[in-house]
Amino acid sequence: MDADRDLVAAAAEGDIVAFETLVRRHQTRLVGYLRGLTNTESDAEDLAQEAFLRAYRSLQGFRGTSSFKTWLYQIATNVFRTWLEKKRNQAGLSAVSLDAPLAGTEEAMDPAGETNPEGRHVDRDAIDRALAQLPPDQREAVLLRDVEGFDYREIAEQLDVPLGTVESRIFRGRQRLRELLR
Amino acid sequence: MSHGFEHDIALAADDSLDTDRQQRLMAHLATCDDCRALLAEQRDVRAMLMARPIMPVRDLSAQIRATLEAEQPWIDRLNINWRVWSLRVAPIAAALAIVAVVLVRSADATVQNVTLAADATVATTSDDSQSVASALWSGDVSEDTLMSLFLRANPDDALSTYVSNGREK
Repeated sequence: MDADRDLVAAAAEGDIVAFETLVRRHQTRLVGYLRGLTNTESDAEDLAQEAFLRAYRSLQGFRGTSSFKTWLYQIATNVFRTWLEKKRNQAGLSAVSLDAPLAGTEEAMDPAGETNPEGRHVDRDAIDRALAQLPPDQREAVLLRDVEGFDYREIAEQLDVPLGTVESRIFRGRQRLRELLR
Repeated sequence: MSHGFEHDIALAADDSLDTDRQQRLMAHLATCDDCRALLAEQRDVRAMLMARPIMPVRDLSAQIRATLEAEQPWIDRLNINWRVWSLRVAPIAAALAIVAVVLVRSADATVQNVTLAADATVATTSDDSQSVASALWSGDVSEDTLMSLFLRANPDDALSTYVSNGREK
């Protein structure tokens, strides 16, 4: 059962206080997800805010077939894609594929000093820098699965792609991250 | 090189693979070093991502609330619970209704009195007109009496006007 159901119902009736509770409940992880996508804290906060506002304005149309969290992350992913497109247009890079990594993230990939003795832990900044070098579609899929813990079916719904595409993006995204963090 | 098992390897790395596919993959991994290495790498990366620290963030709720409140119509911004207010206002509304009924009734009575008074005036005037007519037709009335009857008569009275016109002729 969706733990947010009652709050979502109240917010859909215009209860802003109920929606505020939903914001406080999800904001930390949502900003973290967007931080992984954008590689900047301030952009992540702005996009999270935009995603929450869009969610509130669309609550009447939320049918509850998925959880509120799944739906919210779908909105956030769309907000991120719009942001990315604008960013590339502003930089005059509209001809560049949206599958390309974020600009300015190719340098400073030296996580060697940040690896613990087991070789399993790399700090967040190094991970985020590596994530920023993934094509956005792989970045979204890997973050949704390995950081946010959504299952494959939910991710397919959020990204609006077939299940096999999600599996493929996650496999390739992890492989690329392995090379970047080696 | 994943030998066509890349989807299964991704799913196996996070324990999402169903039993049938798991058995098939295990059979392949028993003879394939490359795919075993791929599965280990997938698990490594997943472990790193799961260990990615979750940092505290600035509270966005107040700003989001302010934006949403500014978008609301002014009547909603009053945040009035109409059900509670209906119950509170009901006795006042009932009292106002009673006062309104009383006022309307007293106004009706005043209008009725005024109408009666007007009717009485008209009746008196008619009597005066009658007196003028009677005096004129009787023929044995002094000029002073006739004058005083005319003075008391209603100038709009048709008979008086007729008499007046007759005299001018």
